[in-house]
Amino acid sequence: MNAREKLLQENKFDPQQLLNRAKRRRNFSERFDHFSDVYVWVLAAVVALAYLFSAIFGLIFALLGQTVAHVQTPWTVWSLQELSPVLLILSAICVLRLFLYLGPVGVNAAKADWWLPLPISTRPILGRSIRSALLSGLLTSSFVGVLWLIVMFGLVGAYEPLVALYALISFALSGVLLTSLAVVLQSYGLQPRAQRWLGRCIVAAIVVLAAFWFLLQVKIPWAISVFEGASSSVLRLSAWAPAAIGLLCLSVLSTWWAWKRSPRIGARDMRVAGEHQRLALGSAMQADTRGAVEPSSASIGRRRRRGNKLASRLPVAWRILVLRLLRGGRWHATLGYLVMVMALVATVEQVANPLSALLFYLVLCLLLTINVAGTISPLISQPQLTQHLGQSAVKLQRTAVLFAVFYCVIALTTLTGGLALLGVVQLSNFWLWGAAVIVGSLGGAAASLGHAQRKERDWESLLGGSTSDTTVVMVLMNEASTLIPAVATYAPLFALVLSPETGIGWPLWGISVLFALRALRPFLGRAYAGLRG
Amino acid sequence: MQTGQSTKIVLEARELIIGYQQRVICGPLDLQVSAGDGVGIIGANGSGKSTLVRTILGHLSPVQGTVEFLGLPVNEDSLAFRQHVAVQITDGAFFEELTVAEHLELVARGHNLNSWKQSVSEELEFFELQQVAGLLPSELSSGQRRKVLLAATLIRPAQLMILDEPEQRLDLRIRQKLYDRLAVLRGSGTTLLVVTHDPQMLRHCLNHAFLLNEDQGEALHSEAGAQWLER
Repeated sequence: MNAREKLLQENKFDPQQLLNRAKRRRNFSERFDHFSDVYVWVLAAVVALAYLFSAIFGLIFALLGQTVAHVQTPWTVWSLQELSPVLLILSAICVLRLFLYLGPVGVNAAKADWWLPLPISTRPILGRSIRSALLSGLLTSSFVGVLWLIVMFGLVGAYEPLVALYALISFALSGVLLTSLAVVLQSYGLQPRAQRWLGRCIVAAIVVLAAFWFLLQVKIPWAISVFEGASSSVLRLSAWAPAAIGLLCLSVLSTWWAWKRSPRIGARDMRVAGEHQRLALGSAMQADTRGAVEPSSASIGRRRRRGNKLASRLPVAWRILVLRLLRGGRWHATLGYLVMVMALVATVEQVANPLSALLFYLVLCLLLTINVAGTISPLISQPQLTQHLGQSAVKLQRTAVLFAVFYCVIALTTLTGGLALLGVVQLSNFWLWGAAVIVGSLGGAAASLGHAQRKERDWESLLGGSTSDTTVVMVLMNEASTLIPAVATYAPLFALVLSPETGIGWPLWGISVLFALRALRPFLGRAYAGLRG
Repeated sequence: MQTGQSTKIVLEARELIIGYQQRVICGPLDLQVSAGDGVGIIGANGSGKSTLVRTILGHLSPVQGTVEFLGLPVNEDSLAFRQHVAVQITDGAFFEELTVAEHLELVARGHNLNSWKQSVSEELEFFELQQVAGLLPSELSSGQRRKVLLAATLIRPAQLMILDEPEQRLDLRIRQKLYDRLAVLRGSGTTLLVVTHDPQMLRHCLNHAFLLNEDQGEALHSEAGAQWLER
């Protein structure tokens, strides 16, 4: 036995003992406080799940265009149900990628500062961290599984309990498998490389899908049978029972491997993972995507020369916005979404219908708000920048609004034009469409302005504080008050999509223009304040 | 650069370039610290002092070059490193549910101190924290939190002690007590590596300075370092 092992065996101290002791000495009131905090969060999660499930049914209802006529494009080759196996692969890749981002073995800042420097065995610390990572993986994958099953049973219109049970077991086990694989990759220090490879896998899956689309388009028999076979077996017991057994064996093996490899996970990795977990938890609890979708400094570094020429001719505030858009790659989400929408409408049966078009506008509204807010936020919420640029806050706000309107007009015009080309919407009332796009863009700009004014918060104090649930509810209410008026400004677009011939009633115009005017506050100044009384 | 006169090299950095990922902050630096030396790392804001400390601790990978502790590459996971290197970082996190005394108990027991109760009580007395020993971190002022972090660094045995601006937020009397104690520790053979902006600390308890200036490191006597800080 070497000196290191001897010393580790002599010092059996487990720092968790002190935390356990602190928990034991809680009085009734503190225990009740803790219980009520947990209770409120569980209740909120249940309510959120109920809403989510309803939203999914609404989504399927809209995508399939129930009760409304749909357009059959010449490129349509498959149904939503036939695409479901692809969703399974993509969701597995996403879960693995998420857990690689989360570590998955990490410790919070306090443990990183106080536990990791101690000359004690890290086994208990690692053990607890791995157990919690595996549990998170199991729950995340089960959650994805429940969503997938809801979609599938919704599409088929039938429910088979035994299939659901086996499928859920398989999803839970695949969560354990993916998390333990992530632990193994973490122990080799391969997370960044693995994340890049998973990104390429997603691209490869899309390419394979495109190739299959081509083969189905030219009616190659084996391609048709592959797709039909895969889609028909997704809700069969004969597929899920062996999958569950196979996944059980694989997850046991991978968990053992992860356990064996875990001592190689270093303190630095655990510290970084803990920081990522804190950000992700804070983002999830406050429905704030900023922590998760902000471009990494590495990707900004790669694009550091992008937009030099274009931006050099612009005024300074515009230069900041254009460079943030280009170097941060902040336009990727919007473009990716528009491409996905066009692909869905063109190739999937029944999706080319007015209801799904309405859904696409609605999602674009939310996406643009978050996307544009991320780009303009420094001009809106950092007064020190105003000082450095030597421009008044109002002037910077005006630039931000103009940029937001411009960006929203381009995105909405692209979506409208694409849907019109595919025959989903008719642009007979061209001027009305133009006006509706402008009003919607103004609404999007107003919402982006509101969203950008949300200040950065200290996640740790918010999550740890006894009033966190109340604070989070307030934050969510603020968010709703920003987004709902933005959706209201899309009302003319919704009306034109659903009923292109009847036009738009004046009350609808009135309401949407009223909300859209909020974007013009920096231009109207005192006049707007006077109008509001 | 060689700052120490004695033979046993505790810490050595060779051709060290520090930075974040591939963004260079400073370097190449050469630093050799012998047992019992007290080296103050000085420099202007943004010169890379804290980055250097984080690289020495293994929290950041060097862009280039090596750092060795007792002849072996720095590895914060190694038992020897954890046993012999005590670190006080600028703003540490705390366990919200543990009291001040329990934080010190955690470190003392983690380092297998037999008389940990006595050590905890001595540190509480030294930093005048007896009145707040039973309080939670959220109930402390920022200065008291700083004292707890310093107490946790000093309660444990160490061959090398790395402190990042320990004088911050301390009142003058406690600061003087701390300097006296660090001087005694150095006298008894503990090596000190301290990021500081306080010339008094350089004069009182350190014998060398390492100036980070214009992306380079320069070895100075502590008095010259103190004068640079006062310039």
